[in-house]
This record gives sequence, C-alpha cells and structure tokens, in this order.
Amino acid sequence: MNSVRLHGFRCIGLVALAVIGFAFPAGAQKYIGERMELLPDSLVPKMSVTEQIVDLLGWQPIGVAVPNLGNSSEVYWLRLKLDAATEAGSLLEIQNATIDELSCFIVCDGEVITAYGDGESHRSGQDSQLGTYPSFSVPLATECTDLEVLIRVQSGKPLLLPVRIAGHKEVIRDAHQRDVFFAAYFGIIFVMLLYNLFLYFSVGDRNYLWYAMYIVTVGGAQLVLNGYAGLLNVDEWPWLERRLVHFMGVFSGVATIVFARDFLDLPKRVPWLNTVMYVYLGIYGLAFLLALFGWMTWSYNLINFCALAIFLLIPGAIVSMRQGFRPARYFLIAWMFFIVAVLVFVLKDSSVIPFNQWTFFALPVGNAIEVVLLSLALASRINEMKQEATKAKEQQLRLAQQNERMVTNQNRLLEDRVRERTQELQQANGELENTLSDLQTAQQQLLQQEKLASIGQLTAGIAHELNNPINFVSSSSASLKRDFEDVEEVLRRVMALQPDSDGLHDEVRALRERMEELDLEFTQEEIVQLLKGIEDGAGRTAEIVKGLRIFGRVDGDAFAPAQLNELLESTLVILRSSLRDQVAIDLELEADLPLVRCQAGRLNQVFMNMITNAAHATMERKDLAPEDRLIYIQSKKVNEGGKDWVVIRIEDNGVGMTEDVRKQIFDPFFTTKAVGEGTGLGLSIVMGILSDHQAEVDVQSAPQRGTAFTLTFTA
Amino acid sequence: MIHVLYLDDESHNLTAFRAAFRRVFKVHVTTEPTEAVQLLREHPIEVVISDQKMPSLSGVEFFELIMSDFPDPIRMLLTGHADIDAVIDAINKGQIYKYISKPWNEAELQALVEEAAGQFRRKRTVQQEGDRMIQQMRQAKELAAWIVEVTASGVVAVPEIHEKAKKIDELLS
Repeated sequence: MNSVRLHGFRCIGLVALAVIGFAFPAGAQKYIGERMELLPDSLVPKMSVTEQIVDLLGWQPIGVAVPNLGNSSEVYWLRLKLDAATEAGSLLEIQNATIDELSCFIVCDGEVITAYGDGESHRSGQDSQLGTYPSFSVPLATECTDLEVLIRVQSGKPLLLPVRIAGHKEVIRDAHQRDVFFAAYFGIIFVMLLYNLFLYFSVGDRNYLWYAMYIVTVGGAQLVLNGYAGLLNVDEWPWLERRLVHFMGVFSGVATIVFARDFLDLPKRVPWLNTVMYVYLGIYGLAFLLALFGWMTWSYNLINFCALAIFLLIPGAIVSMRQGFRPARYFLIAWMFFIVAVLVFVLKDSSVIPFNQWTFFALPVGNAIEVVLLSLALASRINEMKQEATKAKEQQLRLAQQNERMVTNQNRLLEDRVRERTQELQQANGELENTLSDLQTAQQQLLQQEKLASIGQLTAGIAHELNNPINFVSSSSASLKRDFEDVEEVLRRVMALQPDSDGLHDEVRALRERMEELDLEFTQEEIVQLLKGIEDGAGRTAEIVKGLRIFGRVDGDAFAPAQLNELLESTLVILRSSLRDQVAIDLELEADLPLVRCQAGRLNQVFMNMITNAAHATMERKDLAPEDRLIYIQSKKVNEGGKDWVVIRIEDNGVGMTEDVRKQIFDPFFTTKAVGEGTGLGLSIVMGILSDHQAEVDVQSAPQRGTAFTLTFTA
Repeated sequence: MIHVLYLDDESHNLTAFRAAFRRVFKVHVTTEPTEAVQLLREHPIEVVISDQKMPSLSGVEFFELIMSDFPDPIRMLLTGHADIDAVIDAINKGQIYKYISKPWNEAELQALVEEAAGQFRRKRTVQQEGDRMIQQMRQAKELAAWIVEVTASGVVAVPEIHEKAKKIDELLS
C-alpha cells in the first residue's frame, strides 16, 4: 500500500514536470550582456540625463551574458551599442520584473532621441510592456551611425539583468509562453489552495489552513517575482510595489516555517529544531521591519539567508520519519524538489550558475511540484491520522469488547457471589432464628432460675425462721407432757387422800416428799414458761406463715388493691433471718397509706430484690460496723397534681454505683457480681414488673455513699 | 449425772432444753457467752452445746474462744438450718464432736449427749491413768537412782536395797 502511494507520487511528479516542460520556451534565448558596459552612478554628475553621460569615461565592459549587479541598492548605468542597420526597430527586453527603478534612453549620435523615464523616478514611461518584463522599442533610426541605449537601474533586490534584443513577435511569443507557464503554475497553486481550504473547512485540521497560507504566500511570491503583481495594479502604490518582493518573501518564509512546524509536529518530535525555527521567524520579522523602513538590501539578504531554514527542515523531517511518522517521508520528497528549486534560484541570483530559462523556471516548477506533493503528503498525513484514529477506534472497540466480556464475566461472578451470599445469609438467618429461639428458651430458663433462686432464698430464710419456734414448741410440748404427768401423779395422790383415814398424816408426808423429789415447784414454774414458749412459738409461726401468705399471694398475679406497708413488712419477715445482725433496718411506714392496685406477689418480688440488693451493698461496706450498715425503708402518701401517690423509698449507705453502672442496672444480664453469683436478671425483672404497674422509678447513687430507689405508685 | 452446758440466744429453746433433759442430765443454760464461760469455770461441764446463729458471736467463734481454757469438754453445734460454711468452720476451727440440726429429736439428742459424755470420761480416764503411770515411773526412777548411789559409795544396806527394789517392782507392775 505504501509503495503504491509512492508510485502515485512519482507519477504525479512526472506529469507535473511534463506539463511544465511543455510550457517551457522552446529554444534558448540569447542575452547580450557581453555587448554592454557598466558605469556606477557614483561616477555620474548629478544632472539630468544629457549627452554628456555618453561621453563620460569609466565605462567598463561587463563580459558576461547576464550581468549580475548584486544586491546593493546602488544606481547603475548600462550602455549598449546597437547596430542601427539591423537592430533599429526591434525591442530591448530586460527579463527582470522586480527592478525598482528603470529608465532607458535611446541615443543617436550623442543625442537622446527617445527617453523612457527621467532616469530618477520609478519606471515610468515605458514604451511598451509586452508581458511582465519591461521592454523598450528601439526607434527606426537607421540613419544613425552611433546608436546607443543607456539604461539606468536601481533595485533593492538582486539586480540580475538578462537583456536581449528581439523582434516584437519573438517577445510577444515568449511572453505568451511564460504567461501560459505561469497560468499553469498559478492554476495548480489555485487548485491546491481551494482543495486545501476545502479540506480545512471539511476536516477542520489546522494544518490545512497553514498549508493554504503557505500556498498563497509562496504563489504570491512567485506572482510578484515574475512581474505579475502588475495585474493587481500594485504599480499605483509605488511604496508597496518596491517592498512587495520582500513582504512576499517574508510571508512565504513565515508560512513555510509555520506549516512545516505543524506538519512535522516539531515542538513534540524535534524540539531543538522548533527553537531554531523560532529564531528564523524572528529573523523574518527583522527582515520585514527592515523592508518596512527602507533597508531593502539588508532585508533581501536576510530573506535569502532565511531560505536556509528550509534545509534545516530536512533533518527535522528525517528525525520525524525515524520516529515512525510516515507522512514525513512524503514531506521529505516534496521538500527536496523545493529545495533544489530554491537552491537553483539562490545560486542563480549569486551567479554561481548561469541565468537561463531553466534556472529561471526552476523555482516555480519545483514549487508547483512541491505544492502538489505536499498536498498529497497532507492527504497521507490525514490518512495516517485516520488510520491511527481507526486503529485507535478498533483498539477502543477491542477494549470495549474486552471490557464487556470482563463486565459480563464479572456480572456472572457477582451473580454467583450474590446467590452464594443470599444462601449464606438465609442460612445465617435460619441459624439466627434458631439462636434467637434458643436465647428465648435460655431467657425463660434464666427467668425460671431467678424465680427458683428467690424461692431458694425464701425457703432458706423461712426454714431458719421456722425451725427455732418449731424446735421449742415441739420440745416444750413433750416436756410439758412429762411435767404434767408429774403434776397429775401428785394430783391423783391428793385426790386419793381420805380425810378421815388413819394414815393421812403419813400419806401427806410421803406426798410432800414426792413433790420435793419431783421439784414440783420448779415444774409449776416451768410449765408456765413452756406454755409461754409454745404460745410464743405458735404466734411467731403464725406470723411467718401470714407473711409468707402475703408474700406469695396466690392471687399475686391479679391486680387488686393492697396495702404496700403490709407487703414491705411481709418481705422483711422473710428476709429477717438473713439480714439480722448484719444490717440495721430503719422502717418508717406511714400509717394511713392508701391502697394501691397491684399484683401483690410480684411487688413482693420487687421489694425483696431491692432490699436484698441494699443489704448486699451495705454488707460490702467492710469499713462499717454491722449496726452502722443502714437500710432505710420509707412509705408515704404524696398529693400532687390533685392525685394521691404512694412513694416507697428504699435507701442504703452501701457501696453505691458509678454513673456507668447506674445506667445499666436494669439491663438484662448486667451484673456486678462474680460469674455464677447472679443471673443479672433481678433488676430487669423488677423493671418489667414496675412498668407493668406504671410505677415511676428513680435511682440515685454515689460510690461509697449509697443508693436510693424511689418508687412512685398511683394510689 | 452428766453436766451439760447449752448456749442459745433464744430463751425458749433454753427452757425447752432444760425441761426435756433436767431429769437425765445436770443442765446449765444461758443466753450469754460470758455467762457460759463462767458456768464452765464453776461446774465440771462435760458436754457443751451451742447455737450457731447468735447476734454477738457465732457458735464456732464461741468454741474457738473457750478452746484454750477448756479443751476437754466435748463440743456440739446446734443450728437452725444447714449452712455448709458453718459446718466447715465448725469442723476445722471449732473441733466439734457432733453437728445437730433444729428441731432436735429428744431421744437422739440425749443419746448423743450421753455418747459425748462417755467419750469425755474415757478420755479423762485415759489421761488420769497416764498421769498415774508417769508418777509411778518417776518414783521408780528415784528409787533406782538411790540404789545406784548407795551401791557406788560402798555403804552396805542390803535390807533397804531389797525393800526399795520390791517397791520398784510394785510400781512397774
């Protein structure tokens, strides 16, 4: 594909050459520099052109076919002797369209017979201008023996003066040929301009715009260089006309650099060259200024110097190519054409190679080919970029497909994971439900245990409380029976006494002895004591049983009005044995406490729990003597907001709690006791019971100071 | 008659105890530990019974208290309900002979007291016997020393030696 395109380039190049070759003037033209003489203006007195000039000394023969007066801005005089017989009536043509000042005087035998221009001002008064080159008619002065032509020239551009004498026909023909040639050239330039502008507007690549500018300026430079500026009527602005070549040179140079820089992407690929190009742009700017202020020669020299920049673009293109930028190769080929052409142009200007049709046309031809080839290079660049874009797109597509595949895989994986997780979660959920039900079971068991524990505590307390009275009641009754048997024996013997019997006295004495033996006096006393003990024991037993009945009310779970004082007392009866001698209890119960609708049995559990907790808290105060460990239990009626409230306060001077602990005491399983000593459920159950009673609970505590629970019930 | 001391803070129990056992034992009762010590000092107490749960001090503490001054009487602990800590303490610290729970069984308690008193008496007999033997040994030793001394000095007093030797034989038999 690459070689095909290269072939295409070659073909186009050949065709272009053929077209231009066709337009070339057929034969070589004969320049007559060798017949001419030169006189620098410095040697000419400042006067209007007169016959005296002719006679001035200092004329020097030129000796070359095409005189090159260099680039000096000086004024030169040229003298040419004509053969009046053969050359009168023909045309003198100077094939340089960029001479700033040009005057021509025909001198016959020392007298000026025709003057074209005044010799000082701009090229005015040309006899005829056939085509783009200045030409002057030589009058038919056949009678003249000495027919001379004096030419005065001055230019800010290199003064290359290809002068020829030719017939009108010949001049016209050559002018036409040149016109055709340049028409073709400008045609190419114009087409390329349109083409690239079109491309710019359709593709939007800035490089096309630079290229279009490049074409415009380079074409414009050719236009000006070859005298076609007159077509645009620039001769009406002499100031501009004198500088047009310079300006166009600067513009085309700048456009070239700008375009090449962008095309080869110098800033990125060859940064050093980019910097150099900036320097050249600077020099171009300087050349422009010089031209602007009339330093025409210096300006032109600078412009020619800057033309070297195009050589530097070659290594730029090579580096760019080496970096794999393929369009750089087409750029290089096209550029070679241009370089050769410019080289020829510059060398011709400096007379290294002779001026002729070939050297003259080399620049436009090379330029035309270059323009076409560059256009193709641009197309290739666009292609390249398109390919890159396509490649990038394909890459993207591939990536996208890959991504999609990955995403699909990922999705599948994710779905699998989600399914797995869902299963796991369901399983976990099931396990959690099991755990929950286990927990509920455990909780119920714990509640049961807590209940059993309180029952255990209860029975232990009651057992101890009951065992003492039972012990002395049962023991006393047995003793009482024995005592009574003694008393009965004595009584029976007393009853058996007969008042009138003989041995009454003896019998009474024996009876007394027996009574003393039985210690009946003491027995009598003992009987009283035993009876009192029995009575007392029965009373205490009854009290305990009553307390038990109140404490463990059968109707405990039904809401019924109850006297909370009674409940507190019964709880204390149960707890008495375990608290006695350990803790001092200060009871302050209000006598006419209103009844409270409550579940008496459950409230007993509450009081028992709280009093037990208080006892434990105080017993931990090892620093206090048992009689200083206090539990204060108070009940009172409070009237607030038009309603009666029963307030129970259970206060201790035990170890107290920190704020942290206080906040947690009602939490299930929270305990400050060692593992295995408490379920941590006591107060949470209490809380449940109290909230069932809609009782308000207030807890105040300070470490080492004590704790106070205040319960408020609706009366 | 066996001398029994009973200490309990519940006076009804004391009354019941005395009523039950005054016919078989010589019963001493009190609610005060200090009075109990006094009674121990005044009477030949053979068996001491104490309630475990008392306000001023526990039964085990009481036993510990009297241990040094009155090591011989047999100690028995009486309590309202089984409290394993009290039992452990009673055995380790109080060195008690028996542990009795309320309410007591009269016959059982009587048997226990008699058994304890037997134990006390046996112990006392063995001790008295031992004391007596030690005494005899000492006397025999003294006699033997005299014989050795007399023999060594060369003084011949054969009938005395015979008499003393006969006495030693009696003491050692």
